[in-house]
Amino acid sequence: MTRMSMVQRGVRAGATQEREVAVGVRGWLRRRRAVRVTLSVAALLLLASFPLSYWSLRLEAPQYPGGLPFTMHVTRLGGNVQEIDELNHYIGMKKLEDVATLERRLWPAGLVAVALLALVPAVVDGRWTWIFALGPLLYPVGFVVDLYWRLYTTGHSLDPHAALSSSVHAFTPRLLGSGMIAQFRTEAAFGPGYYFALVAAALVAVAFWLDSRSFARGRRA
Amino acid sequence: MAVTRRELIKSAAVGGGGLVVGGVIGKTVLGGGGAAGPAAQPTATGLPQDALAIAKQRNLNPGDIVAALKTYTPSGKLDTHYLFASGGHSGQVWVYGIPSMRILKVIPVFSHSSYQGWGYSDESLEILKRGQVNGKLTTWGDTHHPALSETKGDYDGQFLFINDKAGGRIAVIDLRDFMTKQIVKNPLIIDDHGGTFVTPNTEYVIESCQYSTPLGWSYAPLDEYKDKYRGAVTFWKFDRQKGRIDPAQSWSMELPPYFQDLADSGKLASDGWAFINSFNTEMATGGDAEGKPPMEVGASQRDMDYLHVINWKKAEQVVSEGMVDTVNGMRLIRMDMAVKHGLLYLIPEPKSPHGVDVAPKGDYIVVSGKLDPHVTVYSFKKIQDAIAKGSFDQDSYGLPIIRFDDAMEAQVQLGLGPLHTQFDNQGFGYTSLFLESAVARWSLGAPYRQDGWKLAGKVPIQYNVGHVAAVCGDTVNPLGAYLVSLNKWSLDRFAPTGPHHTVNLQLVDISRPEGMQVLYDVPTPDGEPHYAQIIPADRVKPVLVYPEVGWSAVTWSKDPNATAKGKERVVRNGSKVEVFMTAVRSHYTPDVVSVRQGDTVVWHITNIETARNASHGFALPGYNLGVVTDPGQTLTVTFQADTAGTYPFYCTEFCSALHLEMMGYFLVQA
Repeated sequence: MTRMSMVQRGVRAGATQEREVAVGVRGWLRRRRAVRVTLSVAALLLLASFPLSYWSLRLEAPQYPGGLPFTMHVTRLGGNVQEIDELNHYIGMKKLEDVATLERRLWPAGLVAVALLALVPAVVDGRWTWIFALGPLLYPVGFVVDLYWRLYTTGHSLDPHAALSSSVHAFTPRLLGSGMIAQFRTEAAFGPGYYFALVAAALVAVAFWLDSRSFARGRRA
Repeated sequence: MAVTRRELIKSAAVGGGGLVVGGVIGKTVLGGGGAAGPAAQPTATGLPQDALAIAKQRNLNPGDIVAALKTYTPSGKLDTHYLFASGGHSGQVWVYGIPSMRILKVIPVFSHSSYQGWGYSDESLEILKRGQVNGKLTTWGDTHHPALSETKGDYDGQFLFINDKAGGRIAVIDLRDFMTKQIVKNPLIIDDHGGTFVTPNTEYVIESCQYSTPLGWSYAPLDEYKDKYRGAVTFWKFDRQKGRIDPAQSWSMELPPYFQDLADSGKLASDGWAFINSFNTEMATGGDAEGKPPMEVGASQRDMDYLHVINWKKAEQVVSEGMVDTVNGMRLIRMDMAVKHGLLYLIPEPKSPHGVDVAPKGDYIVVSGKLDPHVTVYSFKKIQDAIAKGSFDQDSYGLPIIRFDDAMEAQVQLGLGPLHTQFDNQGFGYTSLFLESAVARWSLGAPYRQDGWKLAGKVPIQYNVGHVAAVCGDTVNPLGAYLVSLNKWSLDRFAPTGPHHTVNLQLVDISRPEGMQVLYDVPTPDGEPHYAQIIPADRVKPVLVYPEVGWSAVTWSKDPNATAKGKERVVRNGSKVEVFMTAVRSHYTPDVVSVRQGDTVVWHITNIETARNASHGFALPGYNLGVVTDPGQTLTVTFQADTAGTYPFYCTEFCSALHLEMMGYFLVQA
């Protein structure tokens, strides 16, 4: 029996046998292999992004040869956080550890959840299961939206009593590319973790497209 | 490019430059100068013209241009070698970079340094107090001979030892942070000169006395000189793990009152032995006001003084078997015991010698009698043969004297006033000629060179050279390349600054067998370097900030009084007020401290910075307090708040744009 005919049989079975939903191994077996593999890779990429940097910012000024690095990871902040905090206190910015505490607390569990959501259409049969795939699809978008919001609010809630409050006014640090904060040139970029998430989202979309084609053929048959 | 180089050579030759200079410029700047940034990139025609114009305008001759190319260290480039020089009666140690000869640091050792807070913090005062004589705090020193710690006879870049001639003290400097960690005072002698020299694995730091006194700092009249006055050499045991001298494991040997001078430790062939000069075997004691000859005459009557040859490995055994007296807490091998066990021998040496230097393989011992135009070279093997043969003369203390001819290998006539010798990697020795104001290069005999024991050249220096230092020039692996001539007088070498003249350190290129060239002059504005040592920079690995915030530089571990951010506090206990303060750009916490007159204040300061360079001072005018904390460091100042008043304290280091605002108030209520 060919794989195609198996899927067709599954579709027919789903249609005829009182819409029985195949979960687990049976659900897994009913999808096209390409769909299963693509979704699994997406889930693995999401999990692999765990230790990687999602976003980085480098501050550059003459007295910091090599620059001051900052990186954002799922479970920690990297780079020279202490020195950046030291500088930020002059303009009255919050300590980096105190920004986005809620998201950062939920992030590790959230990422695992998103990875699991990517697997739902792979192990649960039925077109409707693709609704779960919205999780991994929207995850990178959500990250950027939240990051921008936090950059904006942090840059717009400077302590008015800070030493340099009169010379450095509210601002939004650049999310991507080059910018200036006081005498520092800033260079912001997504990290490998974010690109993993982005590729994972793309793979989920590809899987959905492959699966749609199967459904379409199934109907035709 | 080729045209340019030809043009340059031509113009250099026309300008009196000759082919050598043209060749050097052509190679260095035009041919291989690709490393420079875009701004320094020579234009095809611009640079040589400009360079020659500049040379002409500044009146530079071809030799100057070569020297400039060999020493100029562009902004942002680092030196390849460290020079550690003593500071003479400044009491400190000076660190220079070679080849630029830029001054990198002054390490405060025996004297106070307000710039570095040395002598004001509890920690540094505690170290300085260990050097007291009879309870008198000595606040200065006279540093002479630095010694880098060695492993297998090679500099290992971990520690630096330095003696204080004036106080008879030895200091230990840790090269992880270039800071003095320990000072020990010799319990037998008042002053020293033959220190510091280390044994090949830094088992011991050798310190021998200079001017004889009764041992143990006691009194005896001068007419009892022969019976009561003595010299001594101390072998300070070094505990590398702890980074400290262990006085309890150290021991000394009694010597005749001959004014012992410089020393050196044997190595390889002569490992286990030490050599010390002497210059007053006449046992003159002065008295020129009473019609006796002055010291300088009295001490120069005999044609020969004595080189002391000491078997320290065997002496160590004698000490461990307890055949010692204990004087002022120091274990001392008496002379009779030294003779009995064959620990100490004398060899005549041309009169009033200065340096004794052991050749790289440990096989020859080079002595310079400063009133004799030769260096005298003794063979270690011949010394051993003479000892084995056992036919000695004797001095008036019964010490065995090996006959001069039995031990002497060669005498090389160099010139007037030879003092000190260093070695290179081509089998040459370099000896300073004080009276001639020159450095002589001479060839060692076999196994170093076939053309041995001959003068190979001289270079004039400016002026009155004392010691010389070559790269690793007193180790088992000398590296040649550079020599620094440490000159006592500078006369006309620098823009005048009044009657007091600086010394002059001159960098000399010794890399070319055909001749030596003086490359650069550098003043030492606050000190008189005597001896120095040169080590390749990559062997020294200092930390850039302390390993952890709240670090004690003395114990090299977390300080029990370290204060974390948010844990700052003032704790009162009766009349004792303890302040736990943090310092960070650009504020102290707490920045207001109130006490009552008469309180004892114990003020712990933790610099909680982790950024390189972010040091913070703490100055408390009115209480004579000024300390400096480096990133991560914790230190303490303790004082009596004995005068009421309002005392602003502030940061003495320009730490940030808000440096002036880094201050606070210390309020003492009557």
